Amino acid sequence: MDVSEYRRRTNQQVAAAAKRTRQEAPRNLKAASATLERREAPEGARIAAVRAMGRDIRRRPTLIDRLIALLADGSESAKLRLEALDVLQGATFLVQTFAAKRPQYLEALRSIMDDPDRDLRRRVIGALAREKDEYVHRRLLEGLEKPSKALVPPAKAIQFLGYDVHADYFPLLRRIVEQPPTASAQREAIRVLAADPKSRPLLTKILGDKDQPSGVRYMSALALQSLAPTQFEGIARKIALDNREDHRLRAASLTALAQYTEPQATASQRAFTRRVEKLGERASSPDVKRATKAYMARVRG
Amino acid sequence: MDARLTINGGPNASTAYVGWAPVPAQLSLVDPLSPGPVEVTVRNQEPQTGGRIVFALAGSPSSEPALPVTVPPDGSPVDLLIAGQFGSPSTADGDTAVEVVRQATGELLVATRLMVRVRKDADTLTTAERDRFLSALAGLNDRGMGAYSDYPNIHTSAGSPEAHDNPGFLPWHRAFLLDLERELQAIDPSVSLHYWRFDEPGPNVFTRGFMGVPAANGLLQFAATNPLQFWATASLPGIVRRPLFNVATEPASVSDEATTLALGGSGHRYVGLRDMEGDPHGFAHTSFTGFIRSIGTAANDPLFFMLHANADRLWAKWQWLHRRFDLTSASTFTPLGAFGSPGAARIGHNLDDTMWPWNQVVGGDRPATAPGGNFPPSLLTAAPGPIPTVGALIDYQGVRTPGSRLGFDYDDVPFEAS
Ligand SMILES: [Cu+2]
Repeated sequence: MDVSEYRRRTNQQVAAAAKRTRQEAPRNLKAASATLERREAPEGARIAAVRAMGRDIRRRPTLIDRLIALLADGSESAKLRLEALDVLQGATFLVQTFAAKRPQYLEALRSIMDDPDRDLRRRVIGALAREKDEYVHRRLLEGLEKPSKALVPPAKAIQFLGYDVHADYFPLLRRIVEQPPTASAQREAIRVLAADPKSRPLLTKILGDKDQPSGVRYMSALALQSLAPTQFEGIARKIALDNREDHRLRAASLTALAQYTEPQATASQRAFTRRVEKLGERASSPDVKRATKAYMARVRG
Repeated sequence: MDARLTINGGPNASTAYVGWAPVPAQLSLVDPLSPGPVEVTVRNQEPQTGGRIVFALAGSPSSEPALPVTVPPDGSPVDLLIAGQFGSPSTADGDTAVEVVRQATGELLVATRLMVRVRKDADTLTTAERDRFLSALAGLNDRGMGAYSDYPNIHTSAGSPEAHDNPGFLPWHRAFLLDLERELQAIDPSVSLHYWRFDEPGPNVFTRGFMGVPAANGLLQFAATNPLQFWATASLPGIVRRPLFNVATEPASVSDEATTLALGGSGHRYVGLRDMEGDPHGFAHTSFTGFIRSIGTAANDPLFFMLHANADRLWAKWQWLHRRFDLTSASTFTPLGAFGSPGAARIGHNLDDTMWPWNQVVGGDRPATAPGGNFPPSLLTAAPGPIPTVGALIDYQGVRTPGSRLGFDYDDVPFEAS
């Protein structure tokens, strides 16, 4: 490649972009603010205005106040408020600029946790949950115990709770695993119980129970991987060689063994590898075949 | 007659990795049996396959794919510079080779394998490159039990003033990325930290085979052979991430590359460029729901590093375009000097300040803990040292000071001598 030609071309592109920005910039922020205040302006234009304001936050932190007010304003459209939320959440990465406004921002988020718009509600709860917000934590637990008070479906509630792992809700999650309201709630509960050493027997039982749905057993496998890696290895070997086993589980077991064990380290591992090769070649599932191939490629280095 | 070619100090099996920035090499004769100097050619052995190499005599401005060299008969070395040829990177470890041939006879004196190893646009990787990258990441994470956990523990709310919303945002993240890349290369030296080009669609990135596709509840699903399925952070398996844009046809909600590169204004000044921390960087984070959307959880998602590698690439490209490697110029970086001097920024964000956590300083102006230890060393270069300053992360190619070369390059950012 001719580097000087490349430099010339890049300079040209940047100059064109600079010209575009210069033409927009002087009226950009003023015009954007004005557009946002005109409620009769087309929604698309107001959304673009919010984005433009977001670009200037570091220079003009007071824009944060206006965007927080917009976010909390239930009379504005959800789409516009979602845009304000995205821009504000982006501004949280500007830690110093945002520091003074953080309490207001979190308060605004809490105030709209019950908003009728599903997407807004979820994104708001997610943002608070990732901040390990104590209030949202309580509301999520309450919703799991009394479904009439739920802010989000149980699977999502458990996922959000998982941002702040606490032993005090593990018993509730174990109950959900054994009597799941939905299959996806069961999977999420298993996922969060990966942090609970006491749930090891329960997860081992589920992984071994061929009557459980495939996705539920798969999640138990993932949870056991980090909770009890050595124990998981033994189970994974059995699953990998069982041609009546669920295909996805077999393939995942093979992939885990390839990634995290030394397939040629001991005589018993070499014997296992020979059986993997033999069985995998005959497997009817494309996933198991692919996983076998990858396992053998790893063995051969 | 035999010759010895030592790349980057050797042994070549560990050190024969080059990017676009030239690395030192020594060529000498072994048992010369020759009364006078020997004329040889140093060249690509298989110019049709793999990465391509160019050569120069030390101190010479021009480099060639085949270089005539006069080697003294007494066994003393000739200093050469070896680099990848811009636009022709390797796709596999040692997929190219350098040979030294005696001009008079055509006799092969020595050959050594090499890799032109650069960070690439993740959307363009071969399947094998992608899989090696994923396997190294999954290895470092080791189901939540590996050394990867240091990175989310560093990138927290407590540590974030060291890294964000200040002039050191770009250098600090450059160090953070290079720290991870060196750990990945300790697992597999053929791996680079590839970047997600957030201002372009990523149809090959957001797949089950690569960075995952969300299920209904946002938890990522992976192909049966993708080891990222075992990813775990903060004691839990899995990654939550849902794009708010069409990954196959649209970029994230960010300014495009040319607009970002223009942020430095007509004077091409760092003080303007660093506005990129908001758009595109912050907006790239909030183009998704899930981990990557909040400071405290963002680094739990490996996409974090690919996003930041792209932010770093944009800075590198701007540096190349406007030759911003001079550490005495406020256009390259500002504030110059150290914390406490007039006009200085927060501690850790001035050119001569050391950076947390690698300096291991805790308490006072710094966070209460410093996970991860000193900066990891490299076989390819002594820079940036165990306790890097902000300034040590700037001339990453050694344009001004060859010794400051950090040992990485981007596929689309060339090296040009100043
Ligand atoms: Cu970031």
